Amino acid sequence: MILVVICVPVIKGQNGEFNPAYTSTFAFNNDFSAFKYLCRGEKELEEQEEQYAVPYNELLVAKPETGICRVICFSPRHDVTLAELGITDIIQVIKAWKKEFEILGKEDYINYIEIFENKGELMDVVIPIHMDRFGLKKPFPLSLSRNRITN
Amino acid sequence: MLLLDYLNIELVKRERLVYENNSFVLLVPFWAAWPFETIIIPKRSIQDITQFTEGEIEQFADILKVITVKYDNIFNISFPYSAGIHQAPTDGGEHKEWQLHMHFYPPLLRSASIKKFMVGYEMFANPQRDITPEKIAEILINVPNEHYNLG
Repeated sequence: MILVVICVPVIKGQNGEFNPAYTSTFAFNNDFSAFKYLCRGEKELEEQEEQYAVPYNELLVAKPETGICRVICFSPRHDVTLAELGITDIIQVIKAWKKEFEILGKEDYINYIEIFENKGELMDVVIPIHMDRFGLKKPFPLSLSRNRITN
Repeated sequence: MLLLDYLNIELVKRERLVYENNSFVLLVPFWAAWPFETIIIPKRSIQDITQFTEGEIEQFADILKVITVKYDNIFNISFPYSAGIHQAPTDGGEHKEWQLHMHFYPPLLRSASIKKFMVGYEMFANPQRDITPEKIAEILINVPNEHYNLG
C-alpha cells in the first residue's frame, strides 16, 4: 500500500511537498507509512497508547505501534535496479542505508530498524520505482525474536 | 556465534556456496524454502551496518551487484524478490550475540512466469523444496556475472 508519484528529478510527495533535485540516493518520509504515529519520547508514547488502545479481552489483544517509515530512492533514474547500477552507485545506496541507521538508531523511540526492498510486480510493486523502505518500531518484532540466540 | 558457526560449515562443505569476497559470503541456506532463496553473511562478527568499514562497504556493494545480476540472468528478466537486512536492535544494548545478514526471498520457481505458491502441504504442514538448495547454488554459480541487458 505504498505509492509515491515520481517525476524525475523532482518528487512530489502525497503531502504536497516537493523534494529537491537529487543526483544520487534520496531519502524521505513515507507518506503512506505503515506506522501512523511519529512518536518522540516515552511520555508521548504512553499518551498515544492510551489514546489509541483497542478494547480487548483475555484472548484478543491489540495496541498501538509507533515508528517511522523512510524511503530511499536508489537513483534519480528511478527505473534502474540494483542489478543495473554500477558499483560506485551501489556504494552510495549502502552509505545511505548506513546514514539512516545511524541517525534513526539514536532515537529513543526506535529500538529496531528493518531495511528492506521489494522488487517486481510479483512482490506487489505497482510502478517501477527502485527504492528501499525502512520500517522502524519501538518494540522488538516477534518474527525476529527467534534470531536472538546467544552463542 | 550461531550464524558464524553455520557459515564455517558452509565454507568447508562448499555445496551451497555461490560467491565470496574478502568480507562476505553469498550462499543458498541449508534451510531455504523459496526456490532461489539466498543469504549474505559477513565473515567477521558485525552487529549492524554502522560497523562496516569503507572496505566492507565496497565488498558489500560487490556482493549485492553479483547476486542481483545473477538473479536477472536466470530467466533474462528483472528478477522479483523481497530482500531485507536483519541487524541488532537499536535499544542501547551491545548485542554481541547478533550477526548482521541479508535475506533474499524471490517468488519465482521454474520460469519467468511460474511462481512458487506456499499452498497445500506447505500451507497445512511444512514448507518443502521443489529444487534442492545445492542445485540452485549450481544454477546461480553458472549464470554470468555480467547483466544480460548490459552485456
